[in-house]
Amino acid sequence: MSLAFEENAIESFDIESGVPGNVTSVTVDLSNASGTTDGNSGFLIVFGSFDTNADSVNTTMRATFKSSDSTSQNGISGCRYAGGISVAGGTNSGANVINFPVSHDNYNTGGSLTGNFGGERSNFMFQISINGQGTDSSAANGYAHLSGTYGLTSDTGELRSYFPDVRIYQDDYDKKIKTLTLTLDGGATFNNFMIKVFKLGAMNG
Amino acid sequence: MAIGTFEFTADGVKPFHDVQSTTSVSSITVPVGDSNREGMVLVEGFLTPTSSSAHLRARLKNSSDSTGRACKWRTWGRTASGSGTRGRNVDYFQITANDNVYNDTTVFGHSTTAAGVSFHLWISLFNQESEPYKDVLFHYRSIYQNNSAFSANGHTMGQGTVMNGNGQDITQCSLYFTTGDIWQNRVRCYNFFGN
Repeated sequence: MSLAFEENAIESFDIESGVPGNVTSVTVDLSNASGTTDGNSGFLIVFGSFDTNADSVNTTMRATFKSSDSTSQNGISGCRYAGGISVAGGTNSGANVINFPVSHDNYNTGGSLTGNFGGERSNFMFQISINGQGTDSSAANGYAHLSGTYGLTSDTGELRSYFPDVRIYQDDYDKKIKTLTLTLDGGATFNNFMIKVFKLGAMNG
Repeated sequence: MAIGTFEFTADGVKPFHDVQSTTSVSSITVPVGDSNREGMVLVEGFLTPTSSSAHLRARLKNSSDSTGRACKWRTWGRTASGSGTRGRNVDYFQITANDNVYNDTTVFGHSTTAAGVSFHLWISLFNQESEPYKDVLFHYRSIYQNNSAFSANGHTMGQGTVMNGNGQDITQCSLYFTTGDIWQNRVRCYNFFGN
């Protein structure tokens, strides 16, 4: 979808609103409109909300950045994250894959005590800047920074809210972030996942 | 591209200012306001200090100011120093609380970039000082490596306002470390919301 301007706002770049059933992961394309060029996004805002498949599942939401290069380990190679509770390093979970939890506690994310759809929902908002090194090996090292908030609904219906900041190193030149994938561990799945991606800043169209 | 103008792509607006360098400099000054001095600007960057005992600070000023306009600000978060910090009537605000930003270039296998601080800084501008008050406001988040210990990273968020009556004519933001120089840097400025 290309960017379009409406009377009072920029049209959202991509809305994955039609995920009514259980899914194990949701992947957001952070590349340009054609989907073929990594890292050309400059700044994005991602909103999302969901509930989980079962009230009894303890789970942690995880976010994974990837570039399209699956052969080199040097493209995006590490991160620091903070969730308001602790600050730690992320790990490479595969070639050019950065995996980190965006929640630091496990909660029952269902809403058995609330008894209504709205009360069961968890949510997040991420502001993501992508500033890769490009093709010039002599340039300053690239990075991406995710800053946001998220709230996971516990089994008592309370929202547990945090404010993560994450930096991804894009050490090698011309290796840039392409996708963000969200998953739940512990066997949980997303249910009725809603996401909006607003692509505000870009280097190339 | 001049601030206040827009170059749209199929994916969004290009930054009006986009710099990077591996040459050490004492500070980096980026534009944040034009003659209108209104709207809201995002300044986002990644800076690595030459010293391992440096805090990252920012000054809001105009081109004729030799230093920053007086600010009042406060930080909090999971800082490496264990607490937030604040300032009142000082010519800067601190993006990394009282934490040092580590400059080691070989930590944890990341050949060049394990150290440093990345940040998002939002600045809301106004150019009039008559009532009703039109304040210059700023909000920011940062994450950084504090020292060589893997767990000793810092995480700061903060906010504040320019204090003095002439503080509205802000056109520049100057970034610097309290000790040493800026070694590597990348900074981009966007004006998604007018200027």
